[in-house]
Amino acid sequence: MREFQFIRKQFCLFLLVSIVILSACAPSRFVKPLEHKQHAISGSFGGPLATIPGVATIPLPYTSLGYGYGLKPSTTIYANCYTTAAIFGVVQFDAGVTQNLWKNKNATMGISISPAVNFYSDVFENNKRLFPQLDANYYFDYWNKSKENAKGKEKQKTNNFYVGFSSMYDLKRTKAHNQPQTNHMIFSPQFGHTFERNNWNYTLEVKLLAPYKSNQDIVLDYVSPFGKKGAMGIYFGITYKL
Amino acid sequence: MKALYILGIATLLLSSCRKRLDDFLFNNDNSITEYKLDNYEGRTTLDVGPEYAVADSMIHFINYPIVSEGQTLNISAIYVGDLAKIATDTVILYCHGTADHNDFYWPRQKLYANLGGKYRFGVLMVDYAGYGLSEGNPTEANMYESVNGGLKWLKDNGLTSDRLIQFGFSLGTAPTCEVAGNPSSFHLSPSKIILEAPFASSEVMVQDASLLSFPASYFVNVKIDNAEEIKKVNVPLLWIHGEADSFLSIHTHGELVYNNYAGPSKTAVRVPGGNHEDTPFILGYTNYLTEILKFIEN
Repeated sequence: MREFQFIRKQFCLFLLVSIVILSACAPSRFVKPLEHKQHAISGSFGGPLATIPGVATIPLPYTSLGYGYGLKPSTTIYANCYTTAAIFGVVQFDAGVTQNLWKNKNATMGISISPAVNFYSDVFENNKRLFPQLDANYYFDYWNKSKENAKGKEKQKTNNFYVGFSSMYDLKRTKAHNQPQTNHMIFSPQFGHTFERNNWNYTLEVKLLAPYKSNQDIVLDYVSPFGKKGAMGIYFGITYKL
Repeated sequence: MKALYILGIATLLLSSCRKRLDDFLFNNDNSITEYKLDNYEGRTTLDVGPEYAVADSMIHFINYPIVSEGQTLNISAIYVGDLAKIATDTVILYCHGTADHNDFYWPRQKLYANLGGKYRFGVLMVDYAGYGLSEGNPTEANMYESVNGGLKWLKDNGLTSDRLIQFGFSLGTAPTCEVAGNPSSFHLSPSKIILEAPFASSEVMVQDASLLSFPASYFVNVKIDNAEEIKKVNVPLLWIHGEADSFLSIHTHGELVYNNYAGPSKTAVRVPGGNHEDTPFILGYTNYLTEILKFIEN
C-alpha cells in the first residue's frame, strides 16, 4: 500500500501530462466571433483539477498560445499551439472555425459552434494523431458599458456568461495492443465568464470533463463534482484584440 | 504579422527545452549507505510477523559488476539462503518494484525465504542500477543488465535455468518478461515465471488516463512492453493481481498480459479487495505463499 501511494505521487507527474493533452487542455477559443477582419492573439492556462498526494489539489498546468482572425462578421478562424506539449517533444496544434449560428437583435446573446481539428506528432517516433473536435456555446451579455463615437455606439466593456459543451472524437477503432477503442467521444459540458475590456478579454471557464466516465483505477486522483466519474477542469484565457 | 512572430518565437523557445518523462518511471532512492533490513526505519512494502524472520547467517550481501550503456557499474543484491545449495536446489530471483531499494522490499524477500518452510528456496533480490547501493542511473537497459548480472552470479554459483524461478512485481515484471521472452540474451532463463501486478505497457497507462488513443512515445522513450514480451514466453506463468488495484487496473493491465500469454500453462490468482501492493496481506500470507508454492512444485 505504501509503495502504491509513493508510486502514485511520482506517476502523477508522468500521467498528468498525458491526461491534459485531451480535450481538457484549453478553454473554448472564441465563444463570440471577432469583428470582421479583426486579429487577436490569445493564451490559456489550466487543466483538470487533480490531487497530487503530498502536494496539493491543483488544476494541471497546461498552456497554449493562439491566433484568431475575423474572416466574416459571423465567422472567426483560429489556430493554437500547445506550449506545454512542446516541452515534452510533442507538436500539438489545433485549427478551427467559430461560426455564429444565431444572435438576437442587440447582439447581446447568441449561439456559436466551433468545429476544429487537433493534430499531434512527437519528434521521437513521429507518431501522429488527429482528433476532430466540436464545441457549441450559448453566450449572454448581462452587462455592458458603451460610448458614442464616430461609428455610433461602441461597447467598451462587456461581461458575458456562456454555457455549452466541448466534444472530442477518437476515430481509431483500436488502442494499445489492438484492444478495441470504446471511447470514441469525450463529451464535456462547460460554462464560463468573459470580461471584455477594450482590447483585452479575460475568460475563466469550468469544464466538466467526461462526467459519465469512471475516474477510478487510472493512477491519477481527479477531482470531480461527480465523485468517481469525470474530472473538473479550470482554465484561464486571455485574448488581445489587435 | 507581429503577433505571429511573437507566437513563433515563444513556441520555439518552449520546444527547445523539451523533456521526457522516463525518469518518473523509476522511483529509486540511492541515498542509503548500507542495507539495514529489519532495522530499517523507512517505509516498507509490507509488515510481516516474526514467524517470517530469517537468520543472519542466511543473509548474504553480494556485489557484482555490470557493463551497461558504456559504463561499468557495481550492483548490490541480497541473497537469502544457503549458498551451497544454489548448485543443487531451486532458486527464486525476485525483481522488485519501482520504489526505493531492497530495504523497502525486504519483508517480501523474507516471505519468499519462508516459502515451503524456512530457506526451502534461496531468494536473490537485486537492486537495479541507481537503486539502493547499486551504482548508475535507473534506465531500462541498466535494469535489464542489473538482473542479467544477478543471473550470472547465480550461474557462477552453480544454478542452471531449469532450477530458476523468476518473480516480478510491478516494475519488476518488465525484466521478468524480458528475460523469459528473450532467453538467449541472458545468462540464465527461468523455468517458470510469476508476475504480480504486472503493467501491460506505458501506452496502456497513458490511454487509461486519457481515454484517447495516444501513443506512449508522446511522453516516454522506454520500450517496456510486457503485453508484447509475454507473447514470446514459453514457460509456465503464475499471475497474481488485486482486483481492486487502483494503480494498475487488473482489467487493462493484468488481464491483457495474462491473455496474451500463449505458453504451456498459466494460472491466475485474482485477489478480491487486493490493491496494488497489498495482495499478500489481503489474501493472507499463508494463502499467498501456498499459491506460489503450488505453482512452483507443480
